[in-house]
Amino acid sequence: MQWRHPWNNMIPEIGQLLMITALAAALLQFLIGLKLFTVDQSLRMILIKRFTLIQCLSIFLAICCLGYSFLNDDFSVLYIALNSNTNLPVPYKIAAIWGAHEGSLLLWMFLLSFWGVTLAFSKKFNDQDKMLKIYSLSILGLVSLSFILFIIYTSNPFERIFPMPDQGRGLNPLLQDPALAIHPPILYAGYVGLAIPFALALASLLTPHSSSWAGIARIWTINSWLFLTGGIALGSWWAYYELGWGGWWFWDPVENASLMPWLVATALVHSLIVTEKKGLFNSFSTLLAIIAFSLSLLGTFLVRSGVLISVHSFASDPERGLFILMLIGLFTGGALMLFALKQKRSAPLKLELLSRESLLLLNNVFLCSAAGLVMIGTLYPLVLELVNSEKISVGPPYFNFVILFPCIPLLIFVGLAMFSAWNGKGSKLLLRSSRVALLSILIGLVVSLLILSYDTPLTTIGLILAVWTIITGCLPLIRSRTSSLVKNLPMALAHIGLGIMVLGITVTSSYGITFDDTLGFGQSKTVGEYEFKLITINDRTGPNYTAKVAMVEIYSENQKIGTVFPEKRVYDTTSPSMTEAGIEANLFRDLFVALGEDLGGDIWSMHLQYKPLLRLIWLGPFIMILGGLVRLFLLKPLSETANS
Amino acid sequence: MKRLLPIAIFLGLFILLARSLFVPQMDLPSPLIGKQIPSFSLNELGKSSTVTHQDLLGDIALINIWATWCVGCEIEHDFLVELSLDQDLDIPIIGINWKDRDDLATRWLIQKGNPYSKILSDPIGNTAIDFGVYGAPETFLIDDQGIIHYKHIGPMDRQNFEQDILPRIVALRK
Amino acid sequence: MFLLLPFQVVPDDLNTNLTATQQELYQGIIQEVRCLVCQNQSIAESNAELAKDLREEIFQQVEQGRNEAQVKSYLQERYGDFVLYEPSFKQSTYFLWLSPILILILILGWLRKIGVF
Repeated sequence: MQWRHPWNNMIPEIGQLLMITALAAALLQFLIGLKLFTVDQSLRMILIKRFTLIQCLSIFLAICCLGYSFLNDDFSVLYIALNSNTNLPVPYKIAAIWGAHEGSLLLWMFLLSFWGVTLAFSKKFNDQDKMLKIYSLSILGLVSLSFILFIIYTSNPFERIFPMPDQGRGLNPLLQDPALAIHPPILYAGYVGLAIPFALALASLLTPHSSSWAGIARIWTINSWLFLTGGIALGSWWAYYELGWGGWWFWDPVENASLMPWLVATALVHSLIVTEKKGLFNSFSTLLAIIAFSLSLLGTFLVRSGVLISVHSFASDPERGLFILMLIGLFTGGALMLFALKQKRSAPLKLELLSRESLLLLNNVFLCSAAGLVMIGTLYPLVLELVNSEKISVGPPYFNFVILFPCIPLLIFVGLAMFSAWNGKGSKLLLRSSRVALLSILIGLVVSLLILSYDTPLTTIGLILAVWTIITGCLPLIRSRTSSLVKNLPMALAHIGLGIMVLGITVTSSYGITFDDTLGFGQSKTVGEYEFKLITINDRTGPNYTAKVAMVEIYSENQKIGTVFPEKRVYDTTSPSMTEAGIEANLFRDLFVALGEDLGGDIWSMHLQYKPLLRLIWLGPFIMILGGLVRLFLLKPLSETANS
Repeated sequence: MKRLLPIAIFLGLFILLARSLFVPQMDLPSPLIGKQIPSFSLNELGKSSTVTHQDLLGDIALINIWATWCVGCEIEHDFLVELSLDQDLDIPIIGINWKDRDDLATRWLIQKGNPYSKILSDPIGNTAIDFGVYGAPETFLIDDQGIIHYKHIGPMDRQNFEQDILPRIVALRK
Repeated sequence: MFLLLPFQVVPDDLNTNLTATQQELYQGIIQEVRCLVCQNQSIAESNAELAKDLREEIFQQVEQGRNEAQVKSYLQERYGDFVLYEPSFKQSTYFLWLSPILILILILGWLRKIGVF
């Protein structure tokens, strides 16, 4: 035992105190918003902003306390003893802060309060919208309050153990990876960001005269949509190279839990455009905002309660599940009640079929039904077990099939919407779009029949739709004058990104080749046009693991195009071996090698893959994110001038 | 009323989630219940004689799949020995040693006592797959015709034996 | 039933004799079979012993020329519906499988009601 400054021993208690400070701040933030006290509105505004800030700072400092204890290997803190040890490299000690349940909730909480601060100090609110702001901050206060209580009562990261162990158990080796270290913060920022449109939607129900909630909510929705997109793409990328098998999407309940809010958030972004610009679909947008945040909470529930056991649910505990379920009951139930009571009856819609309004509505409905189908598939085994005592699995074959029902029409209408005008007539639209449609069909057919070999009708449809989405995505850039180029850029990028992703998914799943085979030293195996040659396998020692490292050379037409070094790692802690794949990639194809089992006599089983255009699956979301960034940062001045 | 639709859907979901939280996850039901035991031909542990499924007919018996590497089997073993010594019950326990080494299995039985009337060895695990085994220990109750009546997953102990298996044995013997 | 050989299968003659079509079939099947001892993984992704055994079993069956339906029903007969990631179409899963069509109908009905067409 090394000598410690007495201060060090206090750090977890300081963290504890900071949590209580945050709790008090959140409580006050909530209460001030209620009309309990007759306080002047401007004073109220000042106070509520202060408390929002205090809450955020306290949580931030609490995270710092936890981080400090992690860096000092203070194993008297239970959470640290369970998730770190002295051999863990420093960056992973920091990532270990959110490596397990307690800490990840703390991070969740910090991001929630951080978004609260950005809302509190936002200049997007007009003078008439003061109450909108106060109410939404008050609602956020209530959300924070419940989650801080949740942390303190069920998941306190500062809990001590006695006697203090000499060594910690170490971080789950699955998590010792750069992509996965930053994946949770990004994904959580997205999840939690949906609390802002949720709060704004509820506040708008309470302030019937304010109409500007949609515009404000759109900014934060795009914001969290960006993080969700990034988080999901990063998670998929991580699964691809780290889970050792080369899959990039598993329809795992935890993945589904992140996909559902993403789909609804995408719908919300589009619905808010119509609400902001045309004053339509107000109740639809409100409902979507409620659903989006509820799905975030549902995701948290599914991951944390362990009702759907998944590779990812590292911690599960019925008490925690119960607490989260109560929160879902409070927030979703309460919000839907409020919605039922307060929502104004909107005038009956008179929409022109194939006008921009209708197409946006249609697409939102398809996005929501995609989310609905994912939910049905995810929860169906639970229902059947309870109702029928039957155990079934619903996995990739189901989801890959049913998701086509909403996605094919969605992609058709996404393209059509680019030709549409507000309140436009359908006949004109079809005329204008027909040339591009024919062109896309032609390109799709040529590519699928002549350039690639014909696979299935679905592949051809996928190719046509990808081309259609990309071309129609480019249209606003080609047709628009330079002045409106920047204005159209976010939409164009988002849609081009979508098309590119569809292209990647179609080609990779139709033309990819996977081979499981055994290779001896010096032997080679041909997969597609590529020859994989196992040269040798060596031992290697890392900072906290030992590994077998293979050297595999890859040839194409007898030309060596690369050497990869797939690894099999055994961490010091008691855990099964981990696979680190060897990947030789460019934009057009991925060659993937994973090391299997030692079969004796220098013969190993190997997992070999050729995946054409795989990178597009992540390039697409990347371009979408660029679009969102342009909208948030380059268009700021535009939207402000529009407001004033 | 239209506005209450979201709440109604939500309530349904909420009840589902709440119930799933409190109802313990059930074991996988075995599709083999009510069916004949799968056919096999395995070596007896440490011997060269083979035993087939035919040889197990004629008695109400328990088939226990175990291995020395399995933690649950270690927990269960004392109870199995106790069961095998129970003169009143008098039920043969047939062991299938799953993906194990014969020498390790033999030593384990010498050290801990041998509750089995017959022990078959399934080093590759093919027979275990035919039995739908996914985690040892697993115990099947069969009747004299070789029909499977019950499958217990995980270690047996006095309590779950008396609750789930004993009544079925009694019923079969009537 | 299978002829069970009384000696240990030599592992390295595994995975060598499949044609490209058989590999595709094999890969397709193992991705749709759930690893029962893992948490939501297919046997393709898992390193668990049981997953390895089942992969080997499926490999041999594919090698012997059995098709997807035969292999899947082989597994289903032993482990039940839970082992397959593709739920079978039966009374208790009607709603599951028909839900996409149901949702489409609901959407059309709703759009008609609010007057889109």
